[in-house]
Amino acid sequence: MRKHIDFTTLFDMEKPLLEVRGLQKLYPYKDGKLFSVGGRKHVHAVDGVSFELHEKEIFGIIGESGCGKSTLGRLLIRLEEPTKGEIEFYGVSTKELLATNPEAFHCLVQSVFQNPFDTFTPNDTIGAIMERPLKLHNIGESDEERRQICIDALNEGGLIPAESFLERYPHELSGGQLQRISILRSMLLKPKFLVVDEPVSMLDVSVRADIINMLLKLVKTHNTSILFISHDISIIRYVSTRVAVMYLGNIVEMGETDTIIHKPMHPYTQVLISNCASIDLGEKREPIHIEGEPPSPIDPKPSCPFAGRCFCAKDICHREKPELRRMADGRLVACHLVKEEA
Amino acid sequence: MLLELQDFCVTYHTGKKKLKAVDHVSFGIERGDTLGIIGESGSGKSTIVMAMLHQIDKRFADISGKAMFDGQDLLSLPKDEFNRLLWKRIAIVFQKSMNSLSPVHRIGTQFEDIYRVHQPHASKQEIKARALELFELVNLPERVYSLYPHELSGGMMQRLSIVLSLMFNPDLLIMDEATTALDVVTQGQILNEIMKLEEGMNLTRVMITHDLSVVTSSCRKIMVLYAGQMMEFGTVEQVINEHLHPYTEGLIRSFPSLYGEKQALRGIPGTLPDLTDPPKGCVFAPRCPHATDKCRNVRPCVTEHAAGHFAACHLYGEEANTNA
Repeated sequence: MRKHIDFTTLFDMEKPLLEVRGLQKLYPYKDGKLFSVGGRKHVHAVDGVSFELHEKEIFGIIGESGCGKSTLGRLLIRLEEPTKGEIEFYGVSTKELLATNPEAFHCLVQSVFQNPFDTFTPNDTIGAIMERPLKLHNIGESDEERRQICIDALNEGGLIPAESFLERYPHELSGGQLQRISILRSMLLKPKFLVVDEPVSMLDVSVRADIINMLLKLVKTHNTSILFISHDISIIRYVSTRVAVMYLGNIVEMGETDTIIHKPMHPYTQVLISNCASIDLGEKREPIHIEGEPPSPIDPKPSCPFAGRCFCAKDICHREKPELRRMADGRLVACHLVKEEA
Repeated sequence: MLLELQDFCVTYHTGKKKLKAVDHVSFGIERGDTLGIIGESGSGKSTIVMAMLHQIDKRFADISGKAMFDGQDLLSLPKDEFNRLLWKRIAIVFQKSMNSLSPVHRIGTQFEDIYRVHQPHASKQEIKARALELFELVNLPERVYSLYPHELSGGMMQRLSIVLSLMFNPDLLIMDEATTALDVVTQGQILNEIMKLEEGMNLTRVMITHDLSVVTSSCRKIMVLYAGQMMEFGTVEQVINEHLHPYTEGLIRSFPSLYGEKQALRGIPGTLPDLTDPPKGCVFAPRCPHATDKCRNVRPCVTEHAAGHFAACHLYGEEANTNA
């Protein structure tokens, strides 16, 4: 029987689990005219993102819809080809890894998506759905053994009795149960890194908490790191230790979750957090008012992406794009006006 | 009381079965107050409002009880009299109200159409002046009046639906998940705009949502609904800080806090009961961690535990009964 791939022989385990440098994804944009003047236009979905992720870390990404957070997740699991930039797992670039050893890549990286109703083939039973990744990766000697692995996983995820679930079809299960299975299936290969894109926003409030807790328990036992994408800031605060705030394809602020939520420095983070509805009474913060909607991501000008809506923008913000700078408390902020550098 | 529901029941007919979607719900809202109705999906939040506003066909559902709006029973009003109230005094905004506009007409034209339902002789200038006045309240630019619906973003469309509903200065505004599909920032800003509007317009708002945080940050009263029955009713402070019902507690525990202490999240185990065959006793008993034999056999009454704080639970029922 082939066991799970031994990552130590393939990778330099000294290096950080994931290192992203200058990641950029442009989509060509057709403006509807037959002869467009001035060359091709591009939508800058992710525009130069760099960060590191360490083992056993849960890293949150927050931002409005259209800020590129899901595209970032899809780039990391290579559902999309990046236009520019490097993604390295333990010092090995994903491009190289996919060319030489795609199996190892898929064992290393898995994902969970938002809509559990779309995740599964409707005419396969849950058993067939869950055994498939095991078969593809030659884990387990016989079908019985693979079945047992699935049963153990379902039991671990609180889907009891597990045997009855294996015979059922996706449409017979509720959204919460499907999302549990989706998470459990992603964890079957014991990945080192999991991209989780809005895992609970489709689900009812009373089941959300249980699913998040199940996910947290699973990744703790298997030492997995997560990139947790969500627009719900309070959930990000609950699960993650570090967080990055994205706006128009850029990371505008990144650091410890609690520091950022309690004392946001970037004007956009301040707007985002002050406008977030919360169940805390007493600590009402006056929402900061900003005008308009996020600007178009089609060939943005070399300025701060938030400058047009910012409540404290100065001339320099419209002229130059700010770089991420390290602050005294260790966080990174991309704003010309924030002082207090380390 | 501007709106008062008394023993309100809605029973859907599904084949041979009967489904009690709303089961003896009674509550009232004073003029100028804001109420958030909260519950899981399938708890009957929208059904209450739809039944109250004659949007449910009588052939498929039995509606009983009273819905008193400003002294008259909405349920017994004839259709034409009710239509005169709708939009003029009672307005409603839905979750996807952006889909309610015609895609082939300019927003201005549609605005005129709706305006003329109640004011058939209004002139174009008069209508436009009113529209622009309202646009300003929710920060919509003037050019929106001559645009088509597809040219607006989701946030602008939702603002527009709110503007449309406020056209005749209604007394009661019902928002059915009206901000759920919006982004955090847009949602925050729209809620803030509505709260400012209310001060000026003497508006009473009923907000239906599954998001407890939206209700806490924008309403004064909360009603917790579960499986068509009222579990708890009170001011936001009473329900969030001094909640009585185990279901309310479960709901609150499943929302992570943004500023406060990090507490372990805990969901509510189990699922909604089959409403065609509801449990004999308390409807929440099968999922309740504190359920006793009494809970499983006797349905608790709604009792008042503090001024304006109601709950339907046996855990507290006895004390209240002895006090009374």
